[in-house]
Amino acid sequence: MPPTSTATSTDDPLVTGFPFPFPEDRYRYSTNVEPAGGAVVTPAGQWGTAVVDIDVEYVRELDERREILARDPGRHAVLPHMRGAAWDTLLTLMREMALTNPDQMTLTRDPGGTGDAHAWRWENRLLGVVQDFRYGDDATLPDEPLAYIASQVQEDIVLLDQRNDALWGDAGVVTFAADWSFGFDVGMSFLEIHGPVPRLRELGVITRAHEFLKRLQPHEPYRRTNWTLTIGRRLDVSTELYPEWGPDREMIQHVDDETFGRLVHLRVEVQHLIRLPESGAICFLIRTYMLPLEQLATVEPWRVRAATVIAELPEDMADYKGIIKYRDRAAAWLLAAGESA
Amino acid sequence: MPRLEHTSVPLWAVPEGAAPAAPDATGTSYLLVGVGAEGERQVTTWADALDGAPVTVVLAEDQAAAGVRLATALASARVGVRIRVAGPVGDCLALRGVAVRAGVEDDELHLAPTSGGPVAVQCCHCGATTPSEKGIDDVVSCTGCDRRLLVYYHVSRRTGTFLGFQIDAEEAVS
Amino acid sequence: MTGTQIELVVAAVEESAHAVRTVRLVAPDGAPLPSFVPGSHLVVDCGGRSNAYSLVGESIAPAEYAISVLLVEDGSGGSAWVHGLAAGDRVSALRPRSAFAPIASATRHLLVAGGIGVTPVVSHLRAARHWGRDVQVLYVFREGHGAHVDDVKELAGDAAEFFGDRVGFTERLRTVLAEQPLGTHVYVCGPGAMIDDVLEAATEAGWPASRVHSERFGLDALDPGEPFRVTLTETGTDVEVPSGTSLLEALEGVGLDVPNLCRQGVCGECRIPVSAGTPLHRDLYLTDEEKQACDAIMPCVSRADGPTLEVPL
Repeated sequence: MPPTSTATSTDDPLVTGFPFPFPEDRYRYSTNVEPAGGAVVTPAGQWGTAVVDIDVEYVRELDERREILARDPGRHAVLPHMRGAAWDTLLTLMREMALTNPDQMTLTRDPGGTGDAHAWRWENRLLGVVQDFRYGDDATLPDEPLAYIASQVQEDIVLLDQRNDALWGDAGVVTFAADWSFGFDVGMSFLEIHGPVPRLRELGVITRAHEFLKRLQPHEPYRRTNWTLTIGRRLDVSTELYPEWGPDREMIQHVDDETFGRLVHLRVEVQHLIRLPESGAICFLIRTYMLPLEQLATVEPWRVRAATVIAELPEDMADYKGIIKYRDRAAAWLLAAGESA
Repeated sequence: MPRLEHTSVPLWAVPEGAAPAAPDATGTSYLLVGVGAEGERQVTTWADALDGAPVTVVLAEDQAAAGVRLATALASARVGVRIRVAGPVGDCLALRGVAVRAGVEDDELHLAPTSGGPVAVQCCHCGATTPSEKGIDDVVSCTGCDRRLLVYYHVSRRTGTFLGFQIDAEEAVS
Repeated sequence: MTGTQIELVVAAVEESAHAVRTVRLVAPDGAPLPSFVPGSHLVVDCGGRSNAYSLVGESIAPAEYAISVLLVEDGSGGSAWVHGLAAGDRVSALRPRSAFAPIASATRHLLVAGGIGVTPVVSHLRAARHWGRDVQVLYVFREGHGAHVDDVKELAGDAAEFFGDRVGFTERLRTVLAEQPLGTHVYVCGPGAMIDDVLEAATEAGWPASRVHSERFGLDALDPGEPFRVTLTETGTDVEVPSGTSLLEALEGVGLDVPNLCRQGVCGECRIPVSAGTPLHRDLYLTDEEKQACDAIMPCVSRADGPTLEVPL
């Protein structure tokens, strides 16, 4: 049954800014990194000009992050040697946000004019924040620096320490994980963290990504996308909460078409890969976007390509992405959506 | 499942995995840790072969006691030390965690399981640790929240535990 | 190398030690310069040839980039070019590149410097002071020829020892290497032979490779490669690929639309076939077999091994 809603999505910023993740009619794992910052023009609008992306969901998602961290502090970890990298992340992201949102955010050095090169003032008018601090001085912030900056960006953050020709996930704030557990993975190497994903290692995709990241230089950010399907507009689908959202994969098989199109979301991660300029750590920003199939279907090229990709995806990849139980129906739903008015 | 050597599971931590390579002998001092009778036997063999270099031996009946003494010894160790651990596989994983948290590098550490045995499984949902005899693919009842946990092929080097998550969350409720 | 190039102006030059000139570079508009990782080097365009010099100043959005360059009489001419700079001169450089970074997880940093190899050590010491890191310094230099001695004294205090002779230095080094608490990392920079001696002493003292870091001077700057000519057999045109320009850039320059993504040799998007000539593979994408077959190339990073290449485009 085709969707009954025919609301136009052309002005909805969540549609116009949606980072549709399929450049081709078939999807396989690849080391799909590209330089960051360039605008990606889509049939619905564009995305990609900001490394830190603030959209209409800003306040809502920050509130949700705060609730998640209050319930489960294990989503936030900074191993002691990552203190410098945490500060570096704070300053780097503040600089990015001030550059991209000059009307709402300002970063000022030496606000008091005392000649102190480490004194800064951060203003975030979207949140009503004015914060004076000294770079590297924990006592001048109300919170640990990574937690502080994570409370003002929608991105999840993972910091990788580079040593011994490897990268180590030694710090992060991850509240919107797509079926993994940062709390468990803290301290693992980049290759170990990706160990469970089928195909990645055999194909060399993850080892090439690893080599690429080790060579990354400051001030040259890169980005890539990742995707899956999520049932409900649910950001936190971490492994920790699997007992809560896992049953939805069973439930979704028994709902009517209208509900199906409303609940099943195409979930896209835009990841930015940044070599932090002073600490030398790698900062992974993971920004999650979701669009329900019923809205996805209103953009004709997206509807057709998503249906093709989802139907063609190999079994083991669909299984690993957790969509095996409902991906055939999702593809069929999208195809049928084109047969309506 | 991807090949085990491409995952976070050390090859010596599974029954069908490879035996560990010969331990590094380029150190200028050695810290040998043995848990249980087999562990003690292995430590004695090692110590006999390490002619001349200063050797510190830690022997314990269980991993908790060994861990405390290992951490103490590491706090006063000097660069040039090599650490070798022998004992049941679950104890080796736990003691690797102690060493890693104390800042020991991989090329300073050698782990030699003397036997199989239970490994620790960390419940992703409540945080409790539950032992598993069979290891990967085993299903255990979480000692903290009673959920049935699948033992996954994912190991934390800091805690020495396998990841466990609920195996039947998606089962149809009749 | 386009995109990563920065333009700087000489703010001051100073004879900081015998045959050592310290040059302070600022942005033309006086704005703060990009932050850099301690131990980073600046690749300077020394009148056509690229030379890399370690940065010795503050690293957090600094007002200036400072380099201290030893005049090398029979070198490639780069140091002579730097010694010829005067205040107001314009200098082109690449953004700082990190290749000798402090290890974040080290609980102690043992820094060993020989001669002008002290320059990245000074950078490490500035960061150590800012972050409260535990350091120890051994600095050996020819009597009267020590650069940044005052800086090292000021930054490391009693933790720094200075040596004018190799024998005294080597003896003290062996003692120091034997007494470092677990958690220490050692960093050595200086002439090649000195580094070799220090690495040997570290190995003899049982140091594992994971704790030993060195930077040899005479580092490879980014190798811009030899120029070559590529023949496009479909269109019958010849395209020159100069040093410093990638094959991909050269093809794009004549209007060819080669699909590409990462432009770093990892993603595989820009792969094109080769019909004649021998590729010089610098990518991480092609397999060893594919590289040996010499019938494909990743033009974003790879070049020709020889003067010519032929592609069926």
